[in-house]
Amino acid sequence: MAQADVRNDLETMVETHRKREVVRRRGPQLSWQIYLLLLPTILYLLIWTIWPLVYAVGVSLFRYNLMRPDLIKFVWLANYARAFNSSVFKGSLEVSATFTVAAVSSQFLLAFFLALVLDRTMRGIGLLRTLFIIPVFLSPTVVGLLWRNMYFADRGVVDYLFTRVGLPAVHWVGQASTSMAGVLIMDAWEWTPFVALVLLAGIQSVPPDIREAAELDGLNTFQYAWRILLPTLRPVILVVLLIRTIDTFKTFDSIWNLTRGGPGNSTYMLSIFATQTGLTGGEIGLATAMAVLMAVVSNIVGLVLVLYLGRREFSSNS
Amino acid sequence: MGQAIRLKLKRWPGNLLAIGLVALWLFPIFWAVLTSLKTRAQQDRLVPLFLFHPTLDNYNEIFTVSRYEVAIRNSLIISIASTFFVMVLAVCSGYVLGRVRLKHGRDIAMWILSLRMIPPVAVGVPFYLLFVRLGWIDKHLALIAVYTAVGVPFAVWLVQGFFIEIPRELDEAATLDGLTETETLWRVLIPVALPGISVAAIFTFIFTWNEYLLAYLLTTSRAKTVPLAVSENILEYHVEWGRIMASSMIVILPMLVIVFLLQRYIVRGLTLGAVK
Repeated sequence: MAQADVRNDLETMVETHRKREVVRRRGPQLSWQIYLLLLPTILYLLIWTIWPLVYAVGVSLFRYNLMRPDLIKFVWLANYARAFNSSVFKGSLEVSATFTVAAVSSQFLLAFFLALVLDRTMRGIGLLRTLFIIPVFLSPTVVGLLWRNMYFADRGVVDYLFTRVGLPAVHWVGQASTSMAGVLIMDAWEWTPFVALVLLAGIQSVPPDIREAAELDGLNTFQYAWRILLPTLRPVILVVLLIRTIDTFKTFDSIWNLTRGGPGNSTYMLSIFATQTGLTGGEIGLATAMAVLMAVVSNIVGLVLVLYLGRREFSSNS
Repeated sequence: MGQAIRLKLKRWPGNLLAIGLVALWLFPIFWAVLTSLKTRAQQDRLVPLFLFHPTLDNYNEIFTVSRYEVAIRNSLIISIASTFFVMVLAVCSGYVLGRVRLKHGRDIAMWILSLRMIPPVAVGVPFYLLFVRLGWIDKHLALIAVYTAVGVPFAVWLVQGFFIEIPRELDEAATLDGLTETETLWRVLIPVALPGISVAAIFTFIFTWNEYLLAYLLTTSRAKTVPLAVSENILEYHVEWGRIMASSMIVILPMLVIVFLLQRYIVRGLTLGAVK
C-alpha cells in the first residue's frame, strides 16, 4: 500500500511539474500578441484623451475669447494667475470642496445604514433594490430639473409635504443659507443608492464563518458593523470613496439645472464657473485653465487616496 | 447571503422598513409621473395636486410638437455604438491588464483609471475647436468617438477587476486541454467574465445616454441626444414641466427592465472592481 502511495505522489508531482512546464513554455511565445491586445486601447486613449488634454493646456495659455477671435493672444500663465487671484474662483473652489466633502461623507453614512436595511432575503428584495437604484440611472440633467420642480417655493411639493407633517416650510433653494443643503439632498437622493448597493454587495460577501462567530459572540448590529464590517470592507469602502469623491467634485449637470449656481454664489461650483466662463463668456482660454486646474486637483486627491489604498488594487500581480 | 447577522429586527418590521424606505425614496419619481400626466393648469396650483384627471397630452406633444423620436433615435445610435466600441477595447485591455504579468501593467492600469478624473469641460473645449475646424460638429460619429474615449477608463477598470477574479486554474485547465491563449480567452474566460462585462456595458450605455455637456458642445440639431431634447423644454420664460417629466419617464422604462433583469450582476459587478 505504501508503494502505491509513493507512486501516486510521484505521479502527482510529475503531473504538476508537467503542467507548470506547459504553462511556462507557452508564456513567452505569446508576449507580442498580448501587447497587440492592449495597444489599440492605449493608442485610442492617447489620441482621443491625452492629445485633447495637451491641446487644452495649450489653449489655456492663450487669452482666447470665442466672440473676439481676432484678439487671441499668447499670455503664458496669465489665465492661471487670473484664476488664482479671482475671488470668484476661490469661492467656487470652496463651494466645490465643501460640497464634495459634505456629500461623500453624508452619503456614505446613509448608504451604510441603507445597505444594512436592504440586506434581507424577503421576497421581492430584488425588485426593491432595482427600484432603489433608479436615481443612479437617471440623467443628472433630469435629476436637477426634477428637484427644481419639487423645490419650487410655495408651490413646491417638498415644502408642501413638510407643512403637512407640521414642519416649517424651508425654501430650500430660494435662499443662500439653505441652498447647499438643498443641493446635498438632491445629490444624496441620486447617488446614495449606488454607494449603498456597493456596500451591500460587500456586506454579503463576508464569509459565513465570520458571521457565525460574530453571532455566537452576541454582537449586536452596531458592534458587528463597527468591529467587523468596516475593517473587512475597507478595500470596497476606499474604492467607492475614491470614485464618488472624484465624481462629486466634477458634478455639474444636476446642480446647474437646479440652482444655476445660486442663489448668489452659494452653490457656484468650480465646474459651473469653468463651464460658464467658456460657454456664456466665450473665454475659453480662462475656462480651459480652470478645467485643467480641476483635473490637477482631482488627480492629486485621487493619487492620495490610491496610494493610501495600496497599489495592489490595480495590479494583476496580487 | 448575510443571513446570520442583520438588523436585529424581526421579519416583518425589517421588511416594512425596507419597503417603506424605498417607497419614500421613490417619491420624486412618483411625483415626476404625476406631473407628466398633468395639464399646465393642473401643475400651476398653489397647493400641489395629487388627485386629478390625468391626461396623456404631454406624452403626445413631445412627439408631435418637438419630434422627440429624433433624439431617441440619435441617442440609441450613439449609445449603442459607443458602448460597443468601449467594450471591445475594455475586454481586450482588461484581459491583458487583469491576467497577464505585464512589466508596467500596474502603471498602465493606474494611468487609464486616472483619465477618469478629467472634467469633461477640459476635453470639451479642444474637441469643440478641433471639430469645428474639421466640420465634425453635429455628426454622430464624432460624438461616438468622444464617448468611447471617455467611457473606456471606467469600463477597463471594471472588466479588469472581473478578469482578476477568475481563478488561474481555469487558464491552466484550458492550456492542458490544448487551447491556445486566444482560444482560452474566447471560449473560457470571456464567458466566465460575462456578468462583469455586461455590467460594464450597462454602465457605459447609461453614461453615454445621460451625458449632457459634451453632447451640448458638439451637436446642434441633427445629432441631438435625449438629455438635450429634454432640456430644450426650458423655454425663455417658463418651463414645460409636463413635457420634461413625460420625456424622462419614457426613457426610464426600458432602463428599468434591463436593470431589473440584471440587478444581481450589477451589484456583483460593482464590488468585484473593489473586493479581492
